[in-house]
Amino acid sequence: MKITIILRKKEFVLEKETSVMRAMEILDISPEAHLAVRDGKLLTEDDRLRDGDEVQFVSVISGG
Amino acid sequence: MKCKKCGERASIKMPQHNMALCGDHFLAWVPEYTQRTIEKYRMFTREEKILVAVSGGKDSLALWDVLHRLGYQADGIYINLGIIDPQNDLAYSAKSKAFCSQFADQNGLQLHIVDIKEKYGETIAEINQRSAHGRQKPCAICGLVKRHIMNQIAHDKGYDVLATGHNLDDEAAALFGNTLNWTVEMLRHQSPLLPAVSGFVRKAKPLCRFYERETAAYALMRGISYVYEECPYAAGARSIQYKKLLNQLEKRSPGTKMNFYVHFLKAQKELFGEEQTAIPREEHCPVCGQPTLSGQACAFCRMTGAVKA
Repeated sequence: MKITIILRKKEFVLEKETSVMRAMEILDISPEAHLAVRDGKLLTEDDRLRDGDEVQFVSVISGG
Repeated sequence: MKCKKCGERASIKMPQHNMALCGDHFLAWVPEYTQRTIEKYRMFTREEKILVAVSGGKDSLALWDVLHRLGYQADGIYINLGIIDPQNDLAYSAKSKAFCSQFADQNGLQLHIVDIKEKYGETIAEINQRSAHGRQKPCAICGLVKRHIMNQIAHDKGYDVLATGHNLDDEAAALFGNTLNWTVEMLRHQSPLLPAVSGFVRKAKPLCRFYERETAAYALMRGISYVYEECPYAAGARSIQYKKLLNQLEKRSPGTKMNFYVHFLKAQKELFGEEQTAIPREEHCPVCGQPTLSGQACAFCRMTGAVKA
């Protein structure tokens, strides 16, 4: 059981199925400030992450 | 979660609109909502020439894409500031410029590029090192340079309006900062549309009612390549702290950011009256001809004059 999450060029591994929302909580990032992308498609916070998934969490905050 | 329009699997939830949409309907909704915003604030028409300020980031390229899809005459301007990020071995400005050029080429659009090292002899970091104004970060100098050059190019090349990719999170963060500090003049002039006044070209923010995650989602879904990395000088910026705070409120109470900004725009009329224009400046810089407060050389020319000296 392995879900790979890529965030800011770093890889994180989750070892059980969960939702996008919960995965963001685990990584302590805001769903308001990130998008989840799997196989080039956007996921909503309710979507489930499953064994073998490779998901990118993209930060959307910019500015200075 | 299902798409409100077709019942298929949703790709994005937008609680502030009480709506979730699939990819196809989201990509149709973004130009529709932009068009409504353009009309609501009477930003510009299809007969006018628009100059889009592009940085290589998601917002400005998404804006250029949307305006192009809507049939507006929109050219781009990219200002190469010569920024590099040695910590991450990243030629930040060069990479940003490449994304802008790629987008222009792919869509057959005209892109004006101004390279400040070529034109004025120094990069932003080099000006900052020398200048008395920016001993810490060059953000103030950078803002001055960009505002000056964008206005000059728009004016000289006959554009009717300068469009920027500010999103609702940008506007809400600026509003939050201006409110915390009660900077009344900034509150008076914060607007989706600044009419042309005494040498300043009209300025419009057609994406000002989109959340930042929506402009990012649009860019991703449209396959627009943009620079993911942040400007190295943005780390720790106050505006980013404000965005994070506002996102905490948004998570607890969806729609908070939208209400904060949109209700401000309504309250602004009661507070300051109907006219929110750029600060009028009747004098003009003897070097570049752009408006100034004093009638002496403007801040930009003083700075670049020092560069040439």
